[in-house]
Amino acid sequence: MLILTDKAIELKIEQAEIININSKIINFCTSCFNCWTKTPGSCVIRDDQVLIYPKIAMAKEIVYICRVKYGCYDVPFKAMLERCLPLQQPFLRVFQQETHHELRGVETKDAIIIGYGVEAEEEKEIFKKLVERNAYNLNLGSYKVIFAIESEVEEILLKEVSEKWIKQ
Amino acid sequence: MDKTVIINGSHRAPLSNSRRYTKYLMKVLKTESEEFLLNKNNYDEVSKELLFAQKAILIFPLYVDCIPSILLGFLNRLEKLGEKYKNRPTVYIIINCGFIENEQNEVAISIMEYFLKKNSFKYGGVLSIGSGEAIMDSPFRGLVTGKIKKFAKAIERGETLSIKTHIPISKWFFVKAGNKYWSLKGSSHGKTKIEMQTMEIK
Repeated sequence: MLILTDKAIELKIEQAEIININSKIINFCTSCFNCWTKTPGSCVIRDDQVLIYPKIAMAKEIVYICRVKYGCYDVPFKAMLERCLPLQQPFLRVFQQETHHELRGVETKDAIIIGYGVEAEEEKEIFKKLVERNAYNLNLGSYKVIFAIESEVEEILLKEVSEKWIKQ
Repeated sequence: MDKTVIINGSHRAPLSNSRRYTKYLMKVLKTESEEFLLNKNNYDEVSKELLFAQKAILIFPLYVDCIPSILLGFLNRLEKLGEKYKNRPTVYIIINCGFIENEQNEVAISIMEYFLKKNSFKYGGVLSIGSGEAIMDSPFRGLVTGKIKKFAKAIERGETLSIKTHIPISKWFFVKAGNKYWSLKGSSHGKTKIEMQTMEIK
C-alpha cells in the first residue's frame, strides 16, 4: 500500500509506505517529453520524483491525501502527478470513446483519495470529476473520493484503510 | 488605456503551442495587448499586470486532465494579491488539449470558472480547442484561426463568448496520425517504436 500525502502524517501503518511529497524535492515538469521520445519510461529531471513514480506504477493499493484548491489538487500534489508522465507512452488509443495515451507497466489500482481544505460544494463536484478523468490515465480500477476537514484526515485514513485493506 | 493582458500558463511557455495561438491572437486583436510568459519567479509581477488591466486572457494547455501546476501556483498568488486591489478585469480563457476531444477540457474550464467567481472576476468566456498540438499544422488550421478571430472580436467588444473547435476527423484516424508523429519524434532521437513502447518505468 502506498500513501502519498501533502501533509505530515504521524500515523504508522505497518503495511503502508507513506511518502510526504512536501518533504521531497519535486520540480515542475518542463513538458520536454523526453520521457516519451528520448529516455522512454524515465524522467530526465533526476530529483526525488524519480523514486516516487515507479512506486506509483507498481502500487495496487494507493491513497492520495491532498489539499483541494478550486476543485483541483493543490500545487505540490498536482506537480507530482504531472511528473508521472513516464508512466504513459506517447502513443494514443481510443479508450471509452475518447483518445488517451497508452500506459506502460502500470498496475491496476484500488484507490482512496482524501481531499481536505474544500470551501464549497461546487469544489467537491469539480474534484470528483477530475479524479474520474485521472482514473483513466493512472489506471485506477476503482476509487473512492472522501472529503475531510484537515484535522480529521488521519482518523479517516485509518478508518478507510482498515476497513478496505487491513481486514483481519 | 484598454490594454489586454495575455498570460501564457504553459510549462514550456516560450516554445508552447499556447504561444503560437497567442501570436496569432495578437495579430488579429485590434486593441493593445501584451504577452506574459509565466514562470515561478514572476507570479507577483504578472498578477499586478492582470489586476490593473481591463481585460485579461489566460492561455494554457490541458495538463494531466486539468490546469498546469505552474498556472495553479499563479492563481494562488493572484488570489492573495487580489485582496489588496479592487480592480477586476474581465478574464477570457483559451485552453488547448492534445487529444481530439475538446470536451476533455471541461474540468479545467470548471476550475477556472470557480476561481474567477470566487475572486469576483468577470468571466468573458472560453475558446476550447481539441487536437490543439496538431491543428495549426494541419489542413484544418483555418478552423482554429477563424475561431481565434471570432474570439478576438468578442474581446475587443467586451462581449461574452464561449466557442470550441477541433480537427474534424475520426478518432481512429487521429490516433493513427498521432502515433505516426510520435514515431518520427522518437526516431529523431534514435529510438524505435518498440523502444518507445517499453513497459519499464525507471
